[in-house]
Amino acid sequence: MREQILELLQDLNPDITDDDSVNLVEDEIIDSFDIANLVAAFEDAFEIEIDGEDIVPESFYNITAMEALIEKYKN
Amino acid sequence: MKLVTDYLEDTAGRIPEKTALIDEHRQVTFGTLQTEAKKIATKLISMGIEKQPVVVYMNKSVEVIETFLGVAYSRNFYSPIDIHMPGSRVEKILETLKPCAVITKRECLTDPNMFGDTPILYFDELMEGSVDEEAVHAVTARAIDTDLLYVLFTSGSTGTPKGVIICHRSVIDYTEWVTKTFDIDETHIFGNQAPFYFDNSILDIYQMLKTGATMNIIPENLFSFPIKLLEYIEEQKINIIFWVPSALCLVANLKALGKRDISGLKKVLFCGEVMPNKQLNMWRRALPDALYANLYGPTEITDVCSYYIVDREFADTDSLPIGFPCENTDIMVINDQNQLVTGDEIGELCVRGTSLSFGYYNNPEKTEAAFVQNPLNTQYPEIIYRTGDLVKYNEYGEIIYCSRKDFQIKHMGHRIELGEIETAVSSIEDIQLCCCLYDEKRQKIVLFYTGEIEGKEIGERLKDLVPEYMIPNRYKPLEEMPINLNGKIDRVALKALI
Repeated sequence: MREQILELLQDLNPDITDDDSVNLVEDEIIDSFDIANLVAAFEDAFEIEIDGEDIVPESFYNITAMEALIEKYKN
Repeated sequence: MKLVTDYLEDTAGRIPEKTALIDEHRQVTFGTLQTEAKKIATKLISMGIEKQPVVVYMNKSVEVIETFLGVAYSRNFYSPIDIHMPGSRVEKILETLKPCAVITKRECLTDPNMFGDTPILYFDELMEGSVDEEAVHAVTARAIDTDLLYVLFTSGSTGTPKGVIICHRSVIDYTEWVTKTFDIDETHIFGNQAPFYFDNSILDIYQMLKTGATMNIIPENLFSFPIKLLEYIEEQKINIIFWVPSALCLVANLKALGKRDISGLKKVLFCGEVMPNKQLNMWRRALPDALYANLYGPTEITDVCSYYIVDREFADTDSLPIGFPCENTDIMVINDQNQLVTGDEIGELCVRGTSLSFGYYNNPEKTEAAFVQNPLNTQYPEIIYRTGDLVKYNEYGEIIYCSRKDFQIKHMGHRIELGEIETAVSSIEDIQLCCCLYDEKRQKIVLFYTGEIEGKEIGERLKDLVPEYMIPNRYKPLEEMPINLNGKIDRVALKALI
């Protein structure tokens, strides 16, 4: 799953790497518009429907956070 | 009404204790707004400054509006500059504008040398002054409605921002139309999103002033947290918004709609870029009882020249009309032969009327190119503004936006001349040729270039030259730039490479 997420991230910003120590949101590497696009991409790729309440910056800090978000909905 | 300050005189006279403005830190009544504005005016008048440009350089706050009105009361015109704008771009604006004063707050002025010799006035010090009613009265008595009220700078294709000048009369004409068309009164509470250097804010500010409505300046960071944004709207009892479509789309795309009860919001107006029906439909489903209106217009015609109040269903993929001309505005759709289009022929949208800017400040060349003699009038001098937008009429007689004539784009709600980005990129050492395109589908600015430099590096250098929203999202280095038969960069070939 990490690889898939990374691919979708790199679609938005090719410079993103698999490095959890980088906070993508606080370092302004992705913004709200990117998050909106990611949500749509995740829903499509993983066949889930993410609830608006879970669309908070914390869920998008790094790949691990995004993995957790997706797992929550896969189960 | 001769001047916009007459609106304030009237409203402050009637309901001085009503709340006019609210921001994160304070709220002011109409009475206070009037007094504080007049303090600023008194100071400017005492400095002998009249009919001159005054820069307003502050973070978005109640104080900015007080300053705008203070400048207006002193018979000067204001020009707001975004405090996040890179210094080199501010310099270009200052070269064009040559302001007589800058009004700012200490915490906003990080580089005191930024304004050279121009006198700097600090807001808090201005508040310690007093009001000289006689002086202010004398000055407003000799002001006329065609005196300038503001200059707003927009992206310039040759790299230098253009200052659109607007007089009191145009704003009054616009304000009267908005009040009448949307039935605005003092029960309205506006949730302001538009930055004050963007003319969408003209609607919020002057409706507040004229009708006694309240303008609530929504904290900017809430736009990254749509659910908190909706909570704010509900708590503050905001019942009307006039936002840029990107803001509405963000709320929809981040799935916040339906998460909070915002049924108090009765009027949703939008302007500034194409509003996709897909996201509009999401809003319409979540808030079915609200009035929705698509407003259209460039800065050069005082914010809005046409409007469409949504009155029927649209499929997600339909184009939302930009509708009909505002009352007292004439729209002419002109084809390549300089004649009015017929049937569903596409032509350039041109505007005629009181709403027209007098042109670009200190830029006769650009002014003459866009503000031209009405080709259908050979009898007397009459100016029309050529918007550069290509449109056509549909079967209901509504105007439908088609595309641009040139290389201006709307990106995340911002008006950008791709040429301005190209000019900035070209100034970077190591760049040979460059060309900027816009990927409409993915909403990304794409830069093609030749030269020994990394895309990332270009982005870094651009931070000192152009605003953040103009920085390309994709960098595509090429071995060779495709050139067409005319010896120009082949944009068609580049488009295929996106």
